[in-house]
Amino acid sequence: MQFRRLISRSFFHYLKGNLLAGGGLAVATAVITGAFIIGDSLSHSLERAVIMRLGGITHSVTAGERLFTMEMGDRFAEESGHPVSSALVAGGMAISGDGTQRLNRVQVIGADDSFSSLLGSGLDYSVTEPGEAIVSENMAGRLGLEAGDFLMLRMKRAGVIPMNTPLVSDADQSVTRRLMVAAIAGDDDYGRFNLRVSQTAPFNVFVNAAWLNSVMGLDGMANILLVAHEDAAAGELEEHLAAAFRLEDGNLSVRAVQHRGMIEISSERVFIEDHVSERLDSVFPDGDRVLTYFVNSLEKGENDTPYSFVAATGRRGLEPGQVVINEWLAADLGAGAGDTLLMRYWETGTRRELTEQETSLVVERVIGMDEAAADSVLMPFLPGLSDAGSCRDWDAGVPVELGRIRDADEDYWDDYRGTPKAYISLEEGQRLWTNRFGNLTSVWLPGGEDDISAVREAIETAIDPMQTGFQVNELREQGLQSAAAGVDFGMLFGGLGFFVMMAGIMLFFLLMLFNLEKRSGQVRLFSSLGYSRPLIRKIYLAEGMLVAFAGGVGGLLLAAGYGELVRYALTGVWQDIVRTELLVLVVRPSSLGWGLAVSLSLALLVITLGINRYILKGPGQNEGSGQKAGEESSDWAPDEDPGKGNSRDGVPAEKASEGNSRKGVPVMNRIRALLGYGGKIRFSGRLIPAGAWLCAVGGLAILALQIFSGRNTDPAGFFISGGLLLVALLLFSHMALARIEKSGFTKIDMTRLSIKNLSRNRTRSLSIITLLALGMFVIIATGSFRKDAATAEMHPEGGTGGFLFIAEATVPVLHNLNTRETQLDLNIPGDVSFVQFMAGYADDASCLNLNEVPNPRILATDPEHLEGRFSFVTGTEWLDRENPWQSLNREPGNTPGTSDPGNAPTGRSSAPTGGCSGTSAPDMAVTLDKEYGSDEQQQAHNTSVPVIPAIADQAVIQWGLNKRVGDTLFYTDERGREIGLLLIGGLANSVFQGNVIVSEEHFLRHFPSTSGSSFFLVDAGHDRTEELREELDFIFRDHGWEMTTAAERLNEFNSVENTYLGIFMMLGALGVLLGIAGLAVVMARSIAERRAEIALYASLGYKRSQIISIILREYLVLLGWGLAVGVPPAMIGALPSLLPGTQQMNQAFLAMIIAAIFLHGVFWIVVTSLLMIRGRNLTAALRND
Amino acid sequence: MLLEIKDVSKSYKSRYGKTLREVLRGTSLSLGLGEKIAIAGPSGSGKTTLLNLAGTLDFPDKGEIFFRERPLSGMNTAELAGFRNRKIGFVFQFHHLLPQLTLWENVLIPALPVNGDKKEIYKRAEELLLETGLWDIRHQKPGELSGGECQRTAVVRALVNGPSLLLADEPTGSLDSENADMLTKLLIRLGEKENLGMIVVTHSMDIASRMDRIYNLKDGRLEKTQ
Repeated sequence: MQFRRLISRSFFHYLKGNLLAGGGLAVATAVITGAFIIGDSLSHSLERAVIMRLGGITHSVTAGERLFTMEMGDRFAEESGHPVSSALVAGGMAISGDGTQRLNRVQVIGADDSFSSLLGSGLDYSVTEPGEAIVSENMAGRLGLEAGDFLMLRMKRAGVIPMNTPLVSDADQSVTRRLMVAAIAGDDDYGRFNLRVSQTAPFNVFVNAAWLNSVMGLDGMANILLVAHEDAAAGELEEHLAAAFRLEDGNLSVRAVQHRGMIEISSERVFIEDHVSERLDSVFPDGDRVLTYFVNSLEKGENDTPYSFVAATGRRGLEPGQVVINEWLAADLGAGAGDTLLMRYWETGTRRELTEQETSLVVERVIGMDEAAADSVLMPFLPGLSDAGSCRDWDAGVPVELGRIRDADEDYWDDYRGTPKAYISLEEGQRLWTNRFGNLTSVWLPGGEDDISAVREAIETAIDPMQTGFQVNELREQGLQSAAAGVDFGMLFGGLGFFVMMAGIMLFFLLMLFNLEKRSGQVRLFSSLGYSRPLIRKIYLAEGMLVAFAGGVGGLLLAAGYGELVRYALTGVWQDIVRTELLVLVVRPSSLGWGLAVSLSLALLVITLGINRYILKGPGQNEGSGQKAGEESSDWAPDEDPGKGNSRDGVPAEKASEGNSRKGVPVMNRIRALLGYGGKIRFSGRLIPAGAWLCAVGGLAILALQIFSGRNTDPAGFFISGGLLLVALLLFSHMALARIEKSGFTKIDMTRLSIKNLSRNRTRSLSIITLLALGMFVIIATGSFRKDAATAEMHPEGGTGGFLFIAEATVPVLHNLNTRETQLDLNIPGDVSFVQFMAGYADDASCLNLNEVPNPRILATDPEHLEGRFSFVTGTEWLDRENPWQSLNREPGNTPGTSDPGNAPTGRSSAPTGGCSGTSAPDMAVTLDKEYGSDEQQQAHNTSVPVIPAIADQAVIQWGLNKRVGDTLFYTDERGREIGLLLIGGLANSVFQGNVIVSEEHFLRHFPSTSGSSFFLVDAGHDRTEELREELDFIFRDHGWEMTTAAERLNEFNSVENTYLGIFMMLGALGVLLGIAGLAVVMARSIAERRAEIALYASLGYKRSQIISIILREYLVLLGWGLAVGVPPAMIGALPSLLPGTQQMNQAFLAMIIAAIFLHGVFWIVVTSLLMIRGRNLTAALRND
Repeated sequence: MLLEIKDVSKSYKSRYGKTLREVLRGTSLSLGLGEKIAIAGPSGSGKTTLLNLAGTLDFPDKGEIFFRERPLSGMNTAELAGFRNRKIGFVFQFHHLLPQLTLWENVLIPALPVNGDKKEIYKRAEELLLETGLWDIRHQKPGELSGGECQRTAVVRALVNGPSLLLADEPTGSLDSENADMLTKLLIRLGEKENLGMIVVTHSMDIASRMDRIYNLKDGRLEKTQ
């Protein structure tokens, strides 16, 4: 005979009870382990999604809006010794061959033969046949395409010249081609190819790179370089990039102009960018820098010469205000030296808004046409203008009134083309015509063909590609990091399943307690046989842990099933929260181990508590009272005080309680006491009433504050208020049960007897009340957090900002849609207005993306258009409370009135002293949360990073980005400089979720090449939504216009949160139902234990129906008590959803849950009572005892 | 002297500290080795309480109990457990056999806390089972035995560690007269053979009359009646 035999025999003898108890723990284990499994599965799936979207690609080199040559890829491969593929990627939209299906946000990838091998795909993505395409499986599914079918593809035109460049036509922003589907790319073929951090598959069309170049009017150009180089650091690839970079990759060209005996450096982008011209200045300080512009007219008095090129140059030795004109112009205007001319020209705004400006110039001298003709090359190449056969064929980026063009002008064009008719100083020219795309059109150096190589080399050495917008991205590493740091579904489902887990643990606890109580007579036996207290504890603990282990192992099996069930739901009804079908179940031994360990630890805790507090209470106690084994439950009741008249294992009562006084008891002793290891902490006395009243008063005070402060839609305050009232009611219940126990009835009836019976085991009664009340509270109050874009959200301060539609365009809209001209031109209804946003970066940080996104999409607009819209829930001192949106225009580093666009705020060392609004200057340093290796590096960083203010959804800041207002997000701008976006304010739940909003002014300072708007908020009357939707969809059909109502978009975001809440409520309800089922088991066991009592009723002449009535009343009172304690606080918690005009909670669903729980409880109580009493020989129990 | 109870008092209190009932009032009793005494008295007179005090399952409010001249109040919990395991055997009105164990396993339960060689205990268990006629059914479980067999098993379990004091609380209370007689004879025979000091709490005059001395517990005090 060994201990283990005793334990195993006991385990098997009480197998039924043990299995029931183990079942409770199995449920808890399943939820805990299931959460680990779900977490692992999602984490694995996100990592898998990274591999499936990138294949063998590890890095990319991008250049913003810039195109570079595909040859650069070859040179890069040669330099690095690793496979590289250049691709031309463009956004687009697709229409099925029969025209019935349309798909926006399509990614068109022009690939060559290196692309497939880089991905590791067996499919040849180079699609060598022109006019053929490979489409991704999801796209084929959406458009109903099969190999051999046709589709129409409209693509955003990729060009070397930024779309909004002044003087450049905005016609033909897109190109359309009919393509035949050559093949369909599945997941295994890397059809999910995507450079964005997202688990959602994009709609991909793969075409031949050369073909795509040709339809775009390009030749051998690319905008992305894909690299397969494991473990390569970004710095290493930057070196390879610098070595591979050539002038053409910076869109520069160098040519010898023989007739001038000079070398011209110009940009294919029309204007040479500021930072490039700065480098050219430093390399060629003596070069002649020229800025040539197209002006509307040159006038002298009544004489007017329309549409001329004017060159600004230092070569003529002019002062600002002076002009040199050629003979033709002098003759045309009748002007000579000393005359004053008026020059009119267009100034182009951010959205191609044209404002005619004028300036007066004094003629310094007139030059001959021979001299002037030599400068014909000063006109930059402007598509639609430079290549026009006559003036009437001009297709310029500015309006040209053909009626103004005279025959003389045509003749001039025929003879001299775009030869400048006038010259002004470079200083004046740059003052008038510098724009965000550049400040020069060419630089001239003395030299010929033989000098070109040297010039090229000098430029290539001087220009760092990283400063011209090139960026090396560690795609795989960033992807895996984002996946690893993404939404922790393990924690999430641990939290969601918390109530089921609690119900399981409580069930285990109650059933274990029953089992132990039933055998508490054995404790006395062991004690009388000389077993020491620790030994008895060990025996019971070992047996309990054996039960727990069995339950835990069973739970592991359940966990796999639970995990699979959740996976199935996540790819089906709950797909809103994952938005991928890639989810696969991963069961890792470590997860099983952790799940088992956690549940066994919890089991150990409750078993220890049960044994110490309820079983090992004093071996001699029941002897004195004459009780028999098996009937000790009331004697072992938890409130018995062993220090009073009883003893503890040989220590007299006084000694036993000595040192266990609460006064001066160290924390560890209190914990030991709580677990029942000697001593006792009594929570009754004054503590419980004090706590109850404190919670009640606190809860009511918060409730009053919520109601009278008008913050009646803030669910958190109501939830806390309800929570405190729940605790208060539970404590009052504890007191009431104690009072019932002490009280005596002068009259006795069935109800009084039932109520009195409740106090027979207060712990058990209170456990059931707590379980029911907590379950009701959690389920109902959680419902109040459900979000719906109800009426309140449609107000300007609501989540929609009061806007009717939200739209995105694949092909950006270049114009200002609010001008009368544009509205007439596009036939936009006059009562519709737009807030237009430029976009930079592309990753979505909303709750729709499970990955952590370090650089969410930047949306830039004029903040004035958003004034009075949306609501802020958090803000730093940077946020002007009266005009919060205007805070985006602040120059945090500058004092009021000294705004200097070039002097952006810097890092931690800068102490801002004011802002645009004129409000008092907040004295707050910009905090950069990026750590650098050394103080020196940190200091260098702090003083060099420009910071601009930004606003985002508070939920995105907190959960999507793991940041808070006051933190800074770091981006790399178009010039390769790091910039910080200081989060100055957090918005309440809004349609901006996933984006960061900055002012257009700041944005264009850092991303000047960005052209057009691709994100829109549309303001219009809400009475003709569908009509407007059709109209706008039609007007912008060629832009890949995807428009939805703002309320729908908000609900799309809300659906994620609501799905989480739905899962929580569902699992919560399951927990309550499980708890009630547990209550039935407990009840059955309790009735079985009370057989002598029941037999006594029978012996005293009670009818069977009366006995059943006593039992039924007792448990129905308990059920009603639990609901009565839980529902009122829950209703208070749910008040924000119940008040009229707020986010309406589904009250029918709520009523259904309450009714289901109540009826479920009644069902089990009735069935259990009848089953346990029916057919029993009641008096036999009395005889047997 | 094997056991000496000196001026022992014991009262029961409510959880709020109020004295409900004083069951023993300066009670004294002496028991020599091999001596058998019976304690009788009406229900609630404190017989079981006195037995629990003698067996260290409960402790007196006043007075002292000595075992072989050693005061029991000086022992700590571990010493008391060991003392009960080695020196005292208990027999209750109900057998309290563990239903999950066989008869053989039940009688060996007292051996579990014993450190060291247990061969002697096993041998003794075998002898006792043979002597009580239970050997042949040693592999059966309590549910398969009669009430008399269970109670005899409980006696063997009480004696298996070779105690010098046997405390029996209504040992025949749950048995019919035939089994009660058989058990009484067994107790006396084994007691004499083992030279045990024995205190038997009983209502049965048949058992009491077979003891060396009989005491009646009344108003918290022992009165010798024989």
